Amino acid sequence: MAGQVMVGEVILENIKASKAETPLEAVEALVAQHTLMVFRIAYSVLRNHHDAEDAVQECFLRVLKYGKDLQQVRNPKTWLARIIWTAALDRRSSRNTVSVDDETRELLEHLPDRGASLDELLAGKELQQVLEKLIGSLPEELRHTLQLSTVQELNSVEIAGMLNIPENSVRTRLMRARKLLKEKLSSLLEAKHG
Amino acid sequence: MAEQDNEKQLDQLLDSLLSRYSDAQPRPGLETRILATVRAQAGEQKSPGWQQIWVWAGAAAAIAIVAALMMMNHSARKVPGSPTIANTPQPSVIPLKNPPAEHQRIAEEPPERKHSPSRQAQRVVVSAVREEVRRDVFPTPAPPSDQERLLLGYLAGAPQQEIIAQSRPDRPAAEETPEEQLVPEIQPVIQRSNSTR
Repeated sequence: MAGQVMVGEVILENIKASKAETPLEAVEALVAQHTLMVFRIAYSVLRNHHDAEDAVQECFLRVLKYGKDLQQVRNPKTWLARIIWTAALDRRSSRNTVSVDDETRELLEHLPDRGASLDELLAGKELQQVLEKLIGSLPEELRHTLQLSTVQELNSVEIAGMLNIPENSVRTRLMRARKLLKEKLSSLLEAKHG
Repeated sequence: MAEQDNEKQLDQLLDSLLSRYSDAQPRPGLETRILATVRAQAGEQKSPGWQQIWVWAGAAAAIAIVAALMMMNHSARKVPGSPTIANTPQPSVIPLKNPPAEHQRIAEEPPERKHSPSRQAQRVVVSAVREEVRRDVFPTPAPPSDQERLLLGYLAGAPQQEIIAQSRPDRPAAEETPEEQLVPEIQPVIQRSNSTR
């Protein structure tokens, strides 16, 4: 059923793209449909609103350069997601893999004490920042898969298409990534609470 | 049991954190800004064609202006001949022995003297001036008129001194040069039936 819905969306997008008379109109249609998805993919990598918006703009300018070839793209959504993914990674290429350091431990100091509820833990932003640090410390293939899985607009099939891996590999990588995150988060919380 | 609760709580915590990980909203107006940038870029991609057209048009206009200036400069070097002089039939010029300065003096005679020799002298002056200027096209020789034929006949038969005397105005003796004083006084011209006045 999900596959049928996805195929239907692809067909609908192709119809819209074929109705576009000029490359500019085709790009404008893509902007109207996918700006939020493109932004969230960029944000998942760059973790910064300003950088993410710059990457989104760069992405659509790259799309515009394709010109008349736009109408020949079979799956515009996945194709667009791949472009923004590459653009965001290029921007982030200068950053090294993040490791849990003193800054992370300092963030944990601000967490509520043992026995706090889940809502209390999630109320502050410190835990979110800790998670960002932990995700940054993951191996690259696990990190990329996990980051893309956090974007609501993408499913496992589309993630597999973007990364050029089988769909089963996407699920496997997600499981491994979650396991590592749980272990690290658990150890940090235990270290805080003694 | 406690460990399972901790495990469960940890899963819930991780799920909540991951769901919020990319759940970010762009700043207001992002779509509008992107559309504006894309349209501007599309306009720039179109304009090179128009820019090239304007560049070529400007170059062609500059070449045309330079060519026109060159043509004007070339035509300005030509003799700005008076159309009346060039178009009127030119009489045959009888070369006189007077130098060009003499010609100029003759040409400055008062207009009251309407003798044919003075008119002839003026024509000589004009032709002398004309000869100094290069011309691309010489006037087509035209047959002499009746008046000119009569003059030619007179000049052919009259002595040279008589012709010279006719060409000079009456001047006081004091203004005459020593060379002119050597010229004997010439008797008035005998009126002939064919004389031209």
